Amino acid sequence: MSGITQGAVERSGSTGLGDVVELILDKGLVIDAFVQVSLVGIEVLTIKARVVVASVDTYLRYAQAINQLDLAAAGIAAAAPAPIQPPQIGGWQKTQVVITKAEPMTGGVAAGTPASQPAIDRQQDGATS
Amino acid sequence: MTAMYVYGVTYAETKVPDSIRGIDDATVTVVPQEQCGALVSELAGGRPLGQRSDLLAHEGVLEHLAQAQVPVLPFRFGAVMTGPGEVASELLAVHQEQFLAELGHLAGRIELVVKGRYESDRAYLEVLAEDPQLLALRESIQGVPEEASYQERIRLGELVSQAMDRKRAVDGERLVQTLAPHADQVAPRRLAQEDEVATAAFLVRHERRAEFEGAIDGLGQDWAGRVRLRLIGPLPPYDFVGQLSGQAS
Repeated sequence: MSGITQGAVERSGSTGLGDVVELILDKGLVIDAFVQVSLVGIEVLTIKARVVVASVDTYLRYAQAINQLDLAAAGIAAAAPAPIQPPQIGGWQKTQVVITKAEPMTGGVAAGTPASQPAIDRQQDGATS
Repeated sequence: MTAMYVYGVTYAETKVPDSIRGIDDATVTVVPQEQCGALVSELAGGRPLGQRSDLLAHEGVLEHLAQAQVPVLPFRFGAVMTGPGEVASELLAVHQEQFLAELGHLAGRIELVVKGRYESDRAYLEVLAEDPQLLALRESIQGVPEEASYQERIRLGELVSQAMDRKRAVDGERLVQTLAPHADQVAPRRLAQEDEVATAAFLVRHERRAEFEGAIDGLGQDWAGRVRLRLIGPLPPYDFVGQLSGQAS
């Protein structure tokens, strides 16, 4: 993200897991609404991007960021002697990606499928992170 | 034993080039049924889904089509059906009219997502400059050990948080108002980051893309040094397919 000319708009496709998670786990059509009978109950590992928006933690981070600002350099007030450290607020490093196994959907193949249609084997031994 | 992973629905005649690979590097094909087609690839039974490469493959297939200007209805990650016959008969045949109507509605349009984030300290400096109460509170805890000023710090942070919300509301509104006239539809997204101004998805006609980009460049110039803008896309219309409901029965 660095090296971009001031005022220039950064352009890209979806880059990185963060963009993609936002898109395909949150948005899009849900096939369960269209199909029930031949939907295969395959284990889907759920991934949640959690961000704390308003909490004591957030407030303390804001306070720290504010306290570390160099107001003298910004011409806002009288000298602020605190050492300058760029506050590490924002950015994907603050987004916790929590990977947990969801409850597998019930049944290999939902009821109503002809008996000649064997269920998909749903062993979980292939699960990796 | 294999199953069919479903990426989304497009027109029956859509061709997916070999270079676009699906989950597990599988070939992506189109299962046609009348005028609709489902984008699918084979998936080994018993394989859990959700690894990084699975997510990127799902998105890669759909994004390729969006970039090639092929209308596609993106499905949420994780849809698996028993086989191609079921995909044609249960998914496509039953919902043919709905899918065609929606594809027609989205044809000639792409989704563009715009994210705005404040440049490092800029928003905080503005907040302090605009509110003497904050400045005074900040001065009062300078040099005081953290434990001794815990309550004051929380109070300061809370006030900053509220001021940031107000700032976001104003700047986010400007972002949407500036770009919306160049799009057919707008879908705001919820904020995910503390330094974020706004994120919104826009449904834009192909022929108006240059005009839309001109508008965002103009805003980027106005906000130079203050807000950093990012334009993501073209994307499949994830934010604009929600109106479809599959409850046929």
